[in-house]
Amino acid sequence: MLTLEACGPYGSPGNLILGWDSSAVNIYTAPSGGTALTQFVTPFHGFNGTNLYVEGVVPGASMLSWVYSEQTNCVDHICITVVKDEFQRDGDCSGFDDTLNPPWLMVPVNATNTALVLIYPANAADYVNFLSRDTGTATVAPLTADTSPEIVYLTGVSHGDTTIQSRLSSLNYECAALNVAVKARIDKTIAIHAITEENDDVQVIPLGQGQPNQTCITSGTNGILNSVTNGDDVVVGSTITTGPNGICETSASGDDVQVITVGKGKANATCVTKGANSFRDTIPAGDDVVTGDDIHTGADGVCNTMANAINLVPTTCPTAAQLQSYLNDTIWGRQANVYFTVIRSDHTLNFDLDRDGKLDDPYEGPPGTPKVPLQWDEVNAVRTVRDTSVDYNIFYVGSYEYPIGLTDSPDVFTQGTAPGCNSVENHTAHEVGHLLGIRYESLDMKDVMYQAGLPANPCRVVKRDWDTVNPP
Amino acid sequence: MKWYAMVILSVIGFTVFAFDQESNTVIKLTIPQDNAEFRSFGATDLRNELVKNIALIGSGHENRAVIRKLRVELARRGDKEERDKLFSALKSPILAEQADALEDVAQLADREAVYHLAEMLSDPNPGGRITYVTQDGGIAKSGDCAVSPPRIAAALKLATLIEDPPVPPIGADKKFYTEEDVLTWRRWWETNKAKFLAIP
Repeated sequence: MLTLEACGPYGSPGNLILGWDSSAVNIYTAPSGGTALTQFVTPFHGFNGTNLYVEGVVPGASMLSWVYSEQTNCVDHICITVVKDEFQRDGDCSGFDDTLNPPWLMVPVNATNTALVLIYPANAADYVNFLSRDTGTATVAPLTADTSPEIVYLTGVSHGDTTIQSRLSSLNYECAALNVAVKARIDKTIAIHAITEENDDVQVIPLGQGQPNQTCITSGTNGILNSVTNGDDVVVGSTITTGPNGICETSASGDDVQVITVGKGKANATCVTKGANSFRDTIPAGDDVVTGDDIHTGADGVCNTMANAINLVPTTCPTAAQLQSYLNDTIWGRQANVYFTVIRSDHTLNFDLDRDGKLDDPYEGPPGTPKVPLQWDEVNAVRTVRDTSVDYNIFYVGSYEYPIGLTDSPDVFTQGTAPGCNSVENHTAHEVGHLLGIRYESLDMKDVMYQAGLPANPCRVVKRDWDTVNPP
Repeated sequence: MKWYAMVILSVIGFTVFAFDQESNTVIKLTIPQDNAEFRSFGATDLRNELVKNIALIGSGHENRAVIRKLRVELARRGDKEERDKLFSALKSPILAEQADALEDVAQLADREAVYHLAEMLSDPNPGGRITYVTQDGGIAKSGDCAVSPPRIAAALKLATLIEDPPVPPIGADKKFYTEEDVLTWRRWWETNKAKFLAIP
């Protein structure tokens, strides 16, 4: 409020003029504001003083002049400093939600979080005080700013919400506010598992070959073998056999009988068998056929199938220490006061029951292709190694069907990461958000709960998230 | 003739007996501890707090977890409006709401709650990636967050509520539930439903 007065001989002529820089301040006749004045000119005669109300437009110093028109050297200069301050985050992903106005800060009970207060102009910092509306919930320090930006330390006393105000020391007026959510600590346990798909089939006949030493040609009615061997075919008595490669490479001559067609092997020989895990891991190729737990060469007698004996090892399973540190120090501990103990145990299983090299999603294949009925077999094969002593299990596999993972609380099934996406720790932190009860996705690319994996590894936790994962 | 009594107060909470004299069988419910935070609140306080929190919806400053807890607490204390809302949310077509409702109803841990959870054992909904209400009121589907079929979720909840359940809860000897387990629970419900029909 600005009080204007003037005194001089009664009935003096001329006007009183208030001058100001309208780009720096607005002036109103009412405390509630309304339409800002464009000028203030009033006759000296009859002026008994008035109150005007000044609103800062841009921070900084400005000068008002109060002039008597008949004596322009009779002027009062009023120096005004427009002070602006605002709460800002003290670093990225610090439990500060600036999507809301006023912003919010998560503060742990019996611990401290920080925010910055930017004060303009900086030399007005000494005039700015800080006040907690409820010191039983949170306290603030320092009580008076000293510089800009000033770091304010908010200490949680008991769980609940309160507001920190910044005020000008000379006025009982709130310049800026920061809402504070004080959260009690929650502790959870996670077991992570690198799940290797075991493939141990045995190649009985080498790829491209047939069953060795099978009769390829026999002598005809003349009892004499007329044919001349070719390739690795071998004469055995009055017959020619396929030799070690199992392929008949010799054409019958004279009245010899071609038992196996040239270029082929003995039909339906065992080409691939299951290994020690008692499960056929291989898909037949060419004209090879599945017979029981084996793969046979089919009509051409040539083994066209390579036995699947290579385990599928997950490549992006974090260490327990890496994940625990990320969850606690960057995401859920730091920003929601939810802390994790992470342990890791790895397993080799035979979960790939349809032999597609992926852990199948129980609910759907590619987008828009729901599975009817649901297909739980592969997921349940993995669940057999669930650690039921912990709150949550996270299973990392070499490849997940769609898209890269699924959270179906209390489990996560994932391949960990994908090219062009976020880190395995960041992806896992997102899934942990779902485990903790977040049943929505964010549309803001800064948020850890953003709907897709971004290489920037978004890490912000906002109020909606911390309220969900750390309810009262 | 059926009667109903709270008999044991222990560190882990209450045990409630649903007793059927004709069949001479007893079904015990394990009830979790009440919410210490609301212990000093009367029903009117809870309702006022709920109204206050609901008024913030849309501002971004609302705390939906608090709203949910207040609703559950009122329902636990017998508030019919809130109980009806919870039970009807079990049928919500929005998977996130239905999943929340399953958890909330389980917290009521009384005969009526058991009744509604057990009726979910026949729910044909396949579950899957959640649909949820976005902040602008639209419906969206998550790419990675799913909920189990409600019948499985209901069976898992019942296993924590009913003492001596027909299928044990998840533990060292029971790693996960299957549709077969749900069938076992349905058979149990067919046998025991009558004990829960007389909802107070």
